[in-house]
Amino acid sequence: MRFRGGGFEITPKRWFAPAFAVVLVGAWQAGSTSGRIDPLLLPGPVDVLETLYRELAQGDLAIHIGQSLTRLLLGWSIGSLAGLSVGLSMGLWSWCRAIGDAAISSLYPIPKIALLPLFILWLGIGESSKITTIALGVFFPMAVSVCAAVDAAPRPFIRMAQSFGLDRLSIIVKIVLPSALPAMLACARITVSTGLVLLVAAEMIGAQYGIGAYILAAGNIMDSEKLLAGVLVISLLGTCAGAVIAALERTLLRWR
Amino acid sequence: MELELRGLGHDFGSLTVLDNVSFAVRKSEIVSVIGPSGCGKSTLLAIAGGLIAPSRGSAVSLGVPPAASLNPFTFVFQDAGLLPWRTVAGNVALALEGRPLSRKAQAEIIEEVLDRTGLCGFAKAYPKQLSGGMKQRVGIARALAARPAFLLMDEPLSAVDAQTRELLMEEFLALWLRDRVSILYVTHNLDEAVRLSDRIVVLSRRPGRVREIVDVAIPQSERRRPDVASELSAMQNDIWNLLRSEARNADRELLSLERADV
Repeated sequence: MRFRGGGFEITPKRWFAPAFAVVLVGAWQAGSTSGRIDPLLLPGPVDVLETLYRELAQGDLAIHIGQSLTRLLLGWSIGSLAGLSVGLSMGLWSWCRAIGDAAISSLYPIPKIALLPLFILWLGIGESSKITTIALGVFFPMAVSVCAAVDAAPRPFIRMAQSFGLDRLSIIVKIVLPSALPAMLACARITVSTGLVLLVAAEMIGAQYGIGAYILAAGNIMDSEKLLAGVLVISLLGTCAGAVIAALERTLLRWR
Repeated sequence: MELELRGLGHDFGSLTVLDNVSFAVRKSEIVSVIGPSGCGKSTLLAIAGGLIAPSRGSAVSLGVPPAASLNPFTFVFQDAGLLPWRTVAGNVALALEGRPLSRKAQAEIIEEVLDRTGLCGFAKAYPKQLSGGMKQRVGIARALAARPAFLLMDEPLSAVDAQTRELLMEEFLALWLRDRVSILYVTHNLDEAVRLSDRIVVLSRRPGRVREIVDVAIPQSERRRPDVASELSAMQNDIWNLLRSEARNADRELLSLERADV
């Protein structure tokens, strides 16, 4: 019999991604060294790394990163917690759902960065306006996905818990929240990048320190090496956050 | 404990699923409910166990549960109803949480029921690691942990293969012969009904009404004997004839409804 199965499985190829990266960065470096790429428009990877190292060791890049991390952590945590509580309430109480559905569908589409000037008017140019913008951007997707996850909590589990005489609070803590956990973590992955976008945008509008301000300042003096070093930092921040959430998923969702 | 169903009726919106159902489960009896699919068997069980309030009639429990009973009316569900994020021990513990028991007492009960259901080495396993039969053993272990005075079982063996079903039936009867709690057992499997029950309530097609109540006079422990086999299979045959006419009429009604729509 002629073999006619197979061919559609995705198999792990461990060396392909690093090899691809090496080829790409190698070509970039070769282009820069040979002078084909204008260093003002795109400095070579070695130069960017050197700049990044120098700025971290001597310059105040560390202060910028520290500021940005604080804003991101605060904004993301506040937004996530608020989204979690509102999403949970909308999933559990009909009146919360009625109000929440209408409010979210009208407010969700607003690009949150458009509200930053208003927040600056209300809260001043300092930290609170930036943190609020990030928190708001994280809040909506979290609320929507937690509400959907609570809706999707298997009814047979709830009925089972009721048959063993568990009270409402125990059912929320022991059945509803654990079954919503995978959706929450999946949403956290998305909101981290939303948070990063808003962080950089807010810092570009008005901040002395912060990775967004750093990139903007580098751009203004056409220092493309520093600019790319800043972009590299953001990319690393996002990758690290993703790795943290992946580790959380591995430990918390072992049962899957 | 005993349970009396008195003139039970239930509607979901304009759809009547149960109508005037009356029968009783006496002390230490196994009563099974059998009927064509969609006749309201599971609804009947949910009403009997107090999970759904009936539209008409009432489910009345008689007798005082023993003091040690944590949850007098305890369910065993179709697909076992195990929480995938809890281990076997954790799932059994759900029946004990929120009760006035020390940690040590809880652990002792868990160990005891896992031992009784043959789940000893599996306390730390997650449900996804278990076969269908093992899952249902956990479901039964969890029910036993609650020290029930009355068991409500909703097609507990419908999700397992034929061999596992046979094995679980034997184990289950052995467990029951020790404690003799009353059981209301919903099934669509005639063999289970005839092997396990003292009485079989045959329901009609929707709306479910009591079509017939069949007594099985042979003690459960003797039903595997070859000389009673023919008696049991004759009984099984009679019930099947009843069910077949119900199922056929239901199909015909559906067909005439569809024709009326055209």
